[in-house]
Amino acid sequence: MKDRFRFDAISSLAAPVRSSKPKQAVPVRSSPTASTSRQLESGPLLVVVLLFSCAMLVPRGAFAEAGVDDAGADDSSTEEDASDEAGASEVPLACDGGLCDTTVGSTTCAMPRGTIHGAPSAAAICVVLSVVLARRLQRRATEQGR
Amino acid sequence: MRAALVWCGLGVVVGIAAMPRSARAAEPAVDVVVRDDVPPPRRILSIEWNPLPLFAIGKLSANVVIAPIDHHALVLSPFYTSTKTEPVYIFDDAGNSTQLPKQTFKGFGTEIGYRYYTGKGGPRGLFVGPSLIVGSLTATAQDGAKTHFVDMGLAADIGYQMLVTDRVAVSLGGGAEYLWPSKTIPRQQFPSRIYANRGVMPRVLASLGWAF
Repeated sequence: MKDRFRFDAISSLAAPVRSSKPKQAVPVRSSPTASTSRQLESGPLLVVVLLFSCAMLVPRGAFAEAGVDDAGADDSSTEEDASDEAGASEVPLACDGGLCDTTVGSTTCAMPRGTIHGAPSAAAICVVLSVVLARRLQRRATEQGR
Repeated sequence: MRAALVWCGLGVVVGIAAMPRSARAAEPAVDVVVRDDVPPPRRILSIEWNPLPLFAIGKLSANVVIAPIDHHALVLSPFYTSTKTEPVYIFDDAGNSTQLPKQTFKGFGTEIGYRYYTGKGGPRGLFVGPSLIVGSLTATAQDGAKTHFVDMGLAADIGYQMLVTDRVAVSLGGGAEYLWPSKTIPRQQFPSRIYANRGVMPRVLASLGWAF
């Protein structure tokens, strides 16, 4: 009786193993639900990457704007701050008469520079990811429609 | 045998030719298209406002489009511009900072251009054309020193214009312009560099106006 019980227990353990093999194999090959589930898994990941890359734009832009706003909001205070920070040594500006170069030179770094150079790359990532995500979502919607 | 075939073929051809028209195989129906050749009402003059430059680069401008004949138009675009540089801080490798000067660029100018429109009866349809740009500007340095200079330039545009209800002029387009100032001025931030520094710049056209 014990032996029979053991046999039944072993067969009951073995049965799902045997029957689960084809069930696992079939959806991977042809079932649309499997591709949908894969898209559902990769979709949020893409969304996260997309949002993260878009968020890369924000701090740089805000940082640059903050610099501009601070400078523009209270000229007197910022000028004092600037003189305190700069002290005797200041970044030389290319001037011609009274007019000076107001762009960022190659030997200096400035707050807006990161925005100018970083924004296109982040924007490009955003665009590419948006296209990929849109296509995936569209494909998923089409498959669900079937 | 061959002669018999020839005569037989000849007989078929003659027979078909002799058949009454109604007895022949049904010919495909002919679609009668009534063409509406009534031209749209002619609009010789349209006055338009360009909102985009005002908000993007501090340039107030308008278009006066004169289209005396079909497809051809003269475009006058007077403008007033006022831009300034932002006094941002820059840092060198040692961490030394400098605040960039606030410099202003103000002045008047105009564009004179030609446009070819694909539509009839005024400025309608796809358009393309070149423009000549002339401007008189004054740059004011942070220390108050003023520098007067003249801008000359060329532009080429392409776009689409429609007259909604034959009266409201709406246009969208884009192009490029090349401007060079009469004096050499140190490099400036955007948008001041449009007028202060020589170079090619893209431009976007959007206008809203009224056609007479």
